[in-house]
Amino acid sequence: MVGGNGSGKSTLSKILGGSALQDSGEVLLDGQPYAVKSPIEAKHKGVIITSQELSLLPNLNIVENVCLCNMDRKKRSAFLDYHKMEQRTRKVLKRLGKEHLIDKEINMLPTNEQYLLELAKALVQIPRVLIIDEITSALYKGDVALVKTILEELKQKGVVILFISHRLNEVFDLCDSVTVLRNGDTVGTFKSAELSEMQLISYMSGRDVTQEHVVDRSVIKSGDQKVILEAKVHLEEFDKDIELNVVQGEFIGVAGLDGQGQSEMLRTLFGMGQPVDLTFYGQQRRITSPSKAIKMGFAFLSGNREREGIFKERSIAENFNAVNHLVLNRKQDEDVDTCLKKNGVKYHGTKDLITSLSGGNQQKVVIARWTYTGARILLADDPTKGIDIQARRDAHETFCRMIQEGASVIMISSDDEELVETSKMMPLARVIVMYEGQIARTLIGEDINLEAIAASSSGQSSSEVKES
Amino acid sequence: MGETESVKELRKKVFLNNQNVKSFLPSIIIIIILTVVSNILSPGFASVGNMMTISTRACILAVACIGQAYIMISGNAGIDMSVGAFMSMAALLTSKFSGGTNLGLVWTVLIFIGIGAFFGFITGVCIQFFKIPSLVMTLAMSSVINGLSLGVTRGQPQMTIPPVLLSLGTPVVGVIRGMIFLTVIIITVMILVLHKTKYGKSLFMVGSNRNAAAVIGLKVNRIVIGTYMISAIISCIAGLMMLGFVGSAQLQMGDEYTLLSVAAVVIGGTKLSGGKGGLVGGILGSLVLIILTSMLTALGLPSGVRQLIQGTLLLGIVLINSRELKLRN
Amino acid sequence: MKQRLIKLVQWTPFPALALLIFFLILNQFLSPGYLKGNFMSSFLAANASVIIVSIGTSIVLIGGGMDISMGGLLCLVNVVYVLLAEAKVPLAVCLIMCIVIGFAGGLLNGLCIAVFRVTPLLTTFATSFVFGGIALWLMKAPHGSIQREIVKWYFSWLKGYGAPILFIGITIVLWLVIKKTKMGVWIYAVGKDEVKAYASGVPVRTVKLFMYGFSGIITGIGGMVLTTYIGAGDPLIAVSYTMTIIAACVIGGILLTGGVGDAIGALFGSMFLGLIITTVLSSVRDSFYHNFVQGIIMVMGVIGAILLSRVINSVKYKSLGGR
Repeated sequence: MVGGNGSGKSTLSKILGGSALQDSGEVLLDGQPYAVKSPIEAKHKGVIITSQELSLLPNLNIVENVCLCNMDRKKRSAFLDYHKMEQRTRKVLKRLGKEHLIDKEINMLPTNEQYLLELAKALVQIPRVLIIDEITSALYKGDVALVKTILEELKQKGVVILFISHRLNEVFDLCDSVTVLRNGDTVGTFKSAELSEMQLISYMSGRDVTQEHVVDRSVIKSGDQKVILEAKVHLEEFDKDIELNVVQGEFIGVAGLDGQGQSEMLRTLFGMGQPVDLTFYGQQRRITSPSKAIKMGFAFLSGNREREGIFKERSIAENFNAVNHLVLNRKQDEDVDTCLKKNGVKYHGTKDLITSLSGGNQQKVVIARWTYTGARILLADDPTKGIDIQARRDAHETFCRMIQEGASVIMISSDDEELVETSKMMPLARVIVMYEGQIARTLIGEDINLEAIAASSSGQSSSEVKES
Repeated sequence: MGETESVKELRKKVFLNNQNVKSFLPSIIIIIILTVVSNILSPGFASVGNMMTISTRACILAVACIGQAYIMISGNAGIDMSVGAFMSMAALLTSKFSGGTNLGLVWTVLIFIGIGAFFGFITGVCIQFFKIPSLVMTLAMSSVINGLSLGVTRGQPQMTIPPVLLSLGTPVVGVIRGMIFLTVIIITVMILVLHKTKYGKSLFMVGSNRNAAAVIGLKVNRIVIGTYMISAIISCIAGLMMLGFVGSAQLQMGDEYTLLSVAAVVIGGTKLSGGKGGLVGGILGSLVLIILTSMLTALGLPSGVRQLIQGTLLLGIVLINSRELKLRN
Repeated sequence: MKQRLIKLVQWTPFPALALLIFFLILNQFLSPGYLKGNFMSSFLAANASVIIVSIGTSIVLIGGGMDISMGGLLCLVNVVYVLLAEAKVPLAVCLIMCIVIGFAGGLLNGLCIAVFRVTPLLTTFATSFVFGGIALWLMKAPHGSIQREIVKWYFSWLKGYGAPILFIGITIVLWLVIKKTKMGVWIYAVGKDEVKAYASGVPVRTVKLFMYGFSGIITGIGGMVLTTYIGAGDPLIAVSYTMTIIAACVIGGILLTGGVGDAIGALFGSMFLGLIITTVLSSVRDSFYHNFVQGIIMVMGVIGAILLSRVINSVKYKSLGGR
């Protein structure tokens, strides 16, 4: 199943998994009405889903987590048969090549292993229908190959697998057929052998995606490079220091696997961690709080809009005006409607609740919030996570506009393709790849490509780049 | 497809309203019904005199609701269980601080502002920096404040009241008592603070999403701690009003107001989860509750039954108002 | 060995246990003979009900719920017990009724919270007034007494230690049994993240009904013990207990956000809190300030417990080189 975010893939899988209710229509399993009212009923019928947000519980141990859905009891008593549960867990972990994880703590594990545990949890329930929601995006290449083998085995046993991913090459690799969703409707189901990637993408976005943004690279000449920010950021987690220099009008993409210090670096720069001494536009400053940073001309954009972006109970106007009115004590030059339209937000009235907008539009409002603060540097932590392709493109255009107006942008992204694409749009761009709290590599120009990013992400040097 | 879209849009499109006139209608209807029923059950209930008494009582509660509303709006399950304790304390300690004189009252008010700010500050700091939940901290603070009152007054009821307070309970313009004017002033000011000042607007943001508020540079700690200080101070003021109405002070006389203020604010549409709400709803809620309580007293019901009914009423209100989403959502 | 030590320190009840032991040892030095004689047995007799109800409430807290109706429910159990005893109802029936009332109260909470999905805080706030109101209605002022035999037994069995320890022990054993069943794991799962537990096939509604109902039963037992201790009826006796119980749970290492902690911690926490309050109050001469001091102790206890757990957690992450 493919489709942009907001297309309904996750919702559909949640409906099948029993944790969401459909508005209308029916589902048939073996020709019989499926009609489950809870995940418990779904599991009884053998329909198991893995959750994109991970359904692991950090306060339980690995055995309890993996067996949570079907814990074993001792014969004719209410007590748990822990021994049996442990055996089952070992078995499935062995299959995934991760038996050594059995006595670890969930919180201590890197994301890819957590996702493998999520898969283990699903496998242990012996599914008839297995729905995999975006697992592979968090896995290393080796794990992906292992998962592929396991899925093939399940296929042989007659298990139906619903594979949701935005990694189109995996979809073509693993799947016999592809169903494309867009805006909650099914565009169609195709045999993967009869489909090309370009066709697939255009089905997904509903438009001709071949046009690229043409960049006028003559805008910034090499002599124009004025360094506006010099900072040395201390990363607590890795106990390392990172030095960062930013040029005016520059776009810095930050790549790397999850949790290599990218987020911490950006947040510390913004004042959300230990105080940072830096030089901004020639002035020595000490950033101790976001409010200080904002007043100096910083802006911060989080990809987790539910947690750090939107104010759910408030209106679009309030969400938009928040920084300017409450922190910077200024009013925008143009009125709210003009600003929102400029940023491509689709809405009805500014007094509506922000929750009346789609996810992509909500994030656009959040981006717009910063666009008109006169910020001179935008720190973006995976800002387009979970929004559809069109909204993503619009966001990139906004960043580009900000750069053309003299700001600089540092953008973390978990999507290497996005970094490559966006770099091409910008007049002056580089991509830094972070690994274990350090900048493993800096890529410029032609070097900004998927292979180089992938290689540096796992700590390899450029000479070790291999095709797997 | 076009039709489903517009229906969907209509459903999703909710008008922003902190205090929509439509949402006040149920409260207003209940007020009218209660008054009529009470008058039937206990003739003379709807007399001007009695209604004035009820309105005065409702004023006290309405002011007590201000702090409660502010704290609930601040989010993070903010609730103030110490409203009653501060009210009792203010009532009890007034005679000690003021000596029963009007001039002394001026000092007393200043002292209470100081005490409220002090204890409110401690409460706020414990909640924000030590991450103690609002419920636990304000509950603990209420024991501390009640204990303080007990210690200072040694359990004796207090009788010396500044005359100006007592005059609040007397008519000033026609039948309308001074208390009502005072309340109108206080509530108007606090509504303006809530909706027109930077603090108030920031409070809504903080209540709606603490993390996002921190990201956009709001000083969340200051705002929250300030809110607890405001609530403590306002509760003290409400205590003074209560003293003026009753004419004397006894231990824990304000305790009832804690439950009532929570109920009134919740009736008025403020959600415990924060980020939205207001004071006008609290006023209507106060009227509903005071009319109900007065009716129960007029019917001669024992205090146990009164408490039972108050509890059941609150339970009923939250069954309607404060339900969380189905998990299957 | 070091691993074991680390595991012990990270055991959530550990700080409360350490404080308790430290306090007992300290008092032995400062005033020897403290533990001998009647002090411990009379302390247990007086505080058994709070200790028992703390254990029950901690289960609700671990499950991510909230309950502030214990005080009111205890008053109700007390009043019903005494009224039945005054009406010459057989002892066994009285005791059973205590449990039944407790269960009914817990079920009311559970129904509103689990089935109607009302916010637990507001629900139990309301029900505390419902329970207390009924108690006040049934008995307007303290009076009455219960069967003399049971009071005598309570104070004299095994030098006064037997009865409190028996009931506390029963409560602990019940908890240990629950921990070893599916329900035990489920309670922790629901407490940590209800939505994820739901997605994992945990019957969340049933779990919540269970924990509130079970806590109600425990409160019934606590009410039974309380009434036996005071020997009479008092509709307002336990109104202030709620705060003490919550504080005891927090001191015992239970996180109010849910999913973390162990009911045994509530045992240590309530004993420690009770001991500190009793000891400090005995040295405050002005009895009018007792409530104030008690309140301060609870605030400090809660702050201390939360700070301590944060310190231990941050050390844990550093030592394991975690992320």
